[in-house]
Amino acid sequence: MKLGTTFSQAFSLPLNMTDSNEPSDRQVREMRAGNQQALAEVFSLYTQRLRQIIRFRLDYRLANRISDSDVLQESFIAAARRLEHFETQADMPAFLWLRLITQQQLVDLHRQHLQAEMRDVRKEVSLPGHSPSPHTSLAIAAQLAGRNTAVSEVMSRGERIEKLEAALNQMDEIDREVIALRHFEELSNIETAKVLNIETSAASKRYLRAMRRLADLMQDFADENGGA
Amino acid sequence: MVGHKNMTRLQKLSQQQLDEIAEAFSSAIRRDKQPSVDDFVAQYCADGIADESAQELHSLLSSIAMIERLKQTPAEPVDAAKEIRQLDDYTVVREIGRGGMGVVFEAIHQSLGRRVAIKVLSHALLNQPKHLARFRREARAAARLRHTNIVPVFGVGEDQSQHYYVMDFIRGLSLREWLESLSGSRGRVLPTQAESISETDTDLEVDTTVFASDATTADPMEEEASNQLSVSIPTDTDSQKYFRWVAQVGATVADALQYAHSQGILHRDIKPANLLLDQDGRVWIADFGLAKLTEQDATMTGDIVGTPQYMAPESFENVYDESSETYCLGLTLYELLTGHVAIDGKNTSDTIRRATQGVTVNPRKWNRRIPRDLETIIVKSVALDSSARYATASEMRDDLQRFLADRPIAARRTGPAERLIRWSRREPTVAALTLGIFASLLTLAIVAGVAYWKTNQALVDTQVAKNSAVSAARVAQEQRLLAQSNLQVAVKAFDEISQRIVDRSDELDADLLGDIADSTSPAVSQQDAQLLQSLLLFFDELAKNNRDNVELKLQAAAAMKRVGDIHHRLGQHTQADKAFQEAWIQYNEIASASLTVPDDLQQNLLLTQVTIMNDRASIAGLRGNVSQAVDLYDRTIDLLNESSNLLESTEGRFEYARANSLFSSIATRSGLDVAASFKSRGRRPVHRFFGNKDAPSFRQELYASNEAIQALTSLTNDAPDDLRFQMALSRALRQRAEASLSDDRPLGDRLKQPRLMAGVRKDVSQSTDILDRLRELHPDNVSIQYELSKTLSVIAFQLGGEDARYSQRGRLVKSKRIADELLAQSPDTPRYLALKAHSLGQMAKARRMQGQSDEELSLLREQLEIQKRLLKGAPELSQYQIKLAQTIERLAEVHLAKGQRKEAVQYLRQATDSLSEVVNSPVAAAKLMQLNRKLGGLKRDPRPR
Repeated sequence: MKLGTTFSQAFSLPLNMTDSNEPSDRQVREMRAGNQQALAEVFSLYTQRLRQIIRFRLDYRLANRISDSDVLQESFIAAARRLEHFETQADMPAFLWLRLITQQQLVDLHRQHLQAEMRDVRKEVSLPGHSPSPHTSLAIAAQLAGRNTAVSEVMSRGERIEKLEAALNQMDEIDREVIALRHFEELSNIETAKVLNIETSAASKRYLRAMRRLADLMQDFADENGGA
Repeated sequence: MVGHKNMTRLQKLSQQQLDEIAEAFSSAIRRDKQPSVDDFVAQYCADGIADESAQELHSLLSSIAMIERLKQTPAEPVDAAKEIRQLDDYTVVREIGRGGMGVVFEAIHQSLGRRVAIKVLSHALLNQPKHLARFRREARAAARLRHTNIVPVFGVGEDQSQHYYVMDFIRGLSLREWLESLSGSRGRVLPTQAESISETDTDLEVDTTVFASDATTADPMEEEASNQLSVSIPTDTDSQKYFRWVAQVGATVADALQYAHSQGILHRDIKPANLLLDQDGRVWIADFGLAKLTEQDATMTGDIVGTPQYMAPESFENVYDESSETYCLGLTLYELLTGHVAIDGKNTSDTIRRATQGVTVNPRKWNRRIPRDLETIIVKSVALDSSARYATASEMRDDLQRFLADRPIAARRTGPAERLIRWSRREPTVAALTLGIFASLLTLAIVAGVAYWKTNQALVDTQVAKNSAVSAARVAQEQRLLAQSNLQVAVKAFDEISQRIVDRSDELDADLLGDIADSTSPAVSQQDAQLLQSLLLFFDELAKNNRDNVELKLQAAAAMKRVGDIHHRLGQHTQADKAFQEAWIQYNEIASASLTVPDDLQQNLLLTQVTIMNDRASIAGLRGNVSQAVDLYDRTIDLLNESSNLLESTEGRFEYARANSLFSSIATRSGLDVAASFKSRGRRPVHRFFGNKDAPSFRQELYASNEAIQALTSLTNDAPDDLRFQMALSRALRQRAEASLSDDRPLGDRLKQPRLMAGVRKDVSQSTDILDRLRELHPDNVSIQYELSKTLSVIAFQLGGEDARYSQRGRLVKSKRIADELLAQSPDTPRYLALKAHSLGQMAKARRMQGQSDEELSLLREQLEIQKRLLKGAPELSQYQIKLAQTIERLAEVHLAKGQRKEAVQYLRQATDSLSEVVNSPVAAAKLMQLNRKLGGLKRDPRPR
């Protein structure tokens, strides 16, 4: 009951769409202290970003049954329930903690809904920081294709997407995952470093290397086909 | 674009700088700023930055731009097929439509002068060789179809890297277009087809609404003059004539589907857009062989291409068969009849959600003039539970034709309760939907409960007022009844759900007589268990709020019992026992709380309590807690005696038999001296209701067996067709045989006791006969096979007898074969694994009696492996541990007999290790002591015996 009200509060807060959409230190501090209201405020600031992650990682089969708002809602409830755990993780930025919660919700949802294909799904949504997901490229493809566009509409764009997909598929998992985090989950470098549990400089290096490889691969494809 | 070179002090951008620029650029794109790569590079690579860095940055930002823009770009419309003028021998005349799968053209087949429709398929659909192969295969199969209402498929081809599908060109319009022309306004007079044609130019080149055709004329132009439509579609969509026309369309399509199904071909995408009406008003099914393509594609792009509005609920679970097809036809007819789509949603995901929930509004809700029988047919065809639908298209066709001929239809109207229950018990999506169902049922039940309470109050109020408003009182009374019946519907649905879960976890009523060793059954899913828990909460809540309502209290108690059943089947014996105990208390409260409980209800309550006691006894047996089992047996018999006529009733007698049978089997298996335990505890001997009261009672379990058999014999005589009684009798007979064989004397010696063995053989033969007969009647019933395997494994006959029927060796082989068959059907099922282990154990025993120790060893090892697997699945089950220990003990004995002392000691240690883990089981403790003694003796005496 209590959760429901805070949740609706969280979503009735006006959404500021700019990048300066960061919670204040005070908000995070209060959230860490277990204040549900602060959690609602912080959560609402991150709604768009979390939604992006959900859209990216939500299996297409599920996307048709569950809306990203459903997942957001469940994630919020889960965050509220587990708020005390946040307190113990002093160096965990609020956004990454919420991302973690959201990903756990996704894992649960996939498990519940796609039991038959559970093994695949678990791989697909495995927390990228811990085990790079071989299915990331599938998620990328789905994201690129757009979930609700008819096939005919992606036909000509499809070629480019196909190339990108092929390029991503040829890359090793770590590179692919870095690109997924940076461009599909839209995490910053610092966040990516936290998720992958490496230094920021190492994360930068990895990202730049991955992008170089991607550019090379795309060039190769273009050459093969006689120019893009 | 880059600052000019300064050869002396060129700086490189650090990794960190590059990344920061990349981040800034990415977020600029995401904010819709459309930044230019060049500008960005120029901005950051001013003077003093090396060209190399500038190039690297340029390349990086270009890649970023590509990814981010591909992510954002709104999908572009298809244009790939625009330029097509000629495909092989087909000259394209014009484009007539585009859809999810590609573009449709009208074309002329040059060599034959035939007008055709060509679908040029989107590349995305066929981008894998296996998709292409599938497409060709499906189209080839579709091309074989010959039916007056199926658009002929001519074939497929590939030209200029375009794959295409050629079919006959039908002039007319699709039912989709027809429906759109209605534009949703009910009662409106439809434009005639002639009108709709005349609105457009007769020139085919610009006619885009007409999916025109001529199938046979050599010269396509010739046909064009004749746009006279001889269609006889009733123009008033609110008329009986129109409804009959819809039924006619349905019957025709169903007939065509039946034909396709008989050829092994499913259409997979029946919807108004794929049903064409030609100029003569004939209806055609188009696009056979295409739908599979789009299905495949879903996994590639993340789209569901099929129209969710016209998808059968089960197709979301990748299940699709004939009844799914008639379902889709039902949806189409629904729409034709009512002018409303049967499944509608705010957006795609909402539509899918609704599609999985089925049709919720009956056609006559839209229009009372729709004939009731026709509605019944539609409703049956779109039943959510596919087993409630027409099994075949021909059945649907026949019913539609019966309607058209004004004959009684076969479909039966269902009451609201039945519908709700059907709706709630659809199995494939239970996992996905249970929560939703639960929520809605909960709402319904609570609303009903409140309404019940309120109207009840109202009734009281009106009565108190005592004015002359008799009619008001009657209204209130009616409302109260209504509310109560709603509540009952909800409760019944709940009960159905939980029963369904119980059923799903168990094949049949095999547990009815509580065969203790094996009733740990395949697992119920965790979700089901959770659902049950929430059901329980629900009933608790209801009961709490309605303390004076016996009906609700009963429901709560029944739910508690159900929870016990579930735990029982989950192998969670402690929780099961707790739930049963709680249920028993609740029933007891109801029974004793009020004097107003009517006699027949009192009787039922007592009977339910007895059932629960028996369930608890069964659990106690499973947990190896013999004294509790004996205690429960006592109380059960007391309860049964409490009501003078309970033992006269069929169910009462059955429970009585069950109690005795359970007692006998638990006592036999425990290997405890029950008679002694009775004496030492000062108990009275086994109750005898049927048997000879004066016979000595030193073997209590045998007499319990006798009681069970006598009771069951009388039951089977009274109701010869009741499978339950027959099964129970066959089991009781087997148990008596087992009880007779289970004293301490070696089996070999016992075989020499002719009188005893004659009785055993008689029991085993009779049990076999019953089961053989039942098996013939119910060849697919796995419980019967299970029982038969058990009975066959009782060693009662000559091992190598001449008469095959009584050759024990042959019986054992047959017993194991049945276990193997059952395991092949449902591998890893504990129940069947245990059965196989049992068979192997008996085979080993037979070998031992013949002194074939090598064969015995290998059988015992096989048995051990299975028992280890079983134990792994249910480590807490003492029964498994004890049996495992027994097998190991026997292995040790065989080795000892062969003089292999070391192996024997090893095995004995294994057995004691395994048994020492068992807690709370006196049987295991006794066995452990025995083994330890043996082990000690073996250590002391170094000489092999």
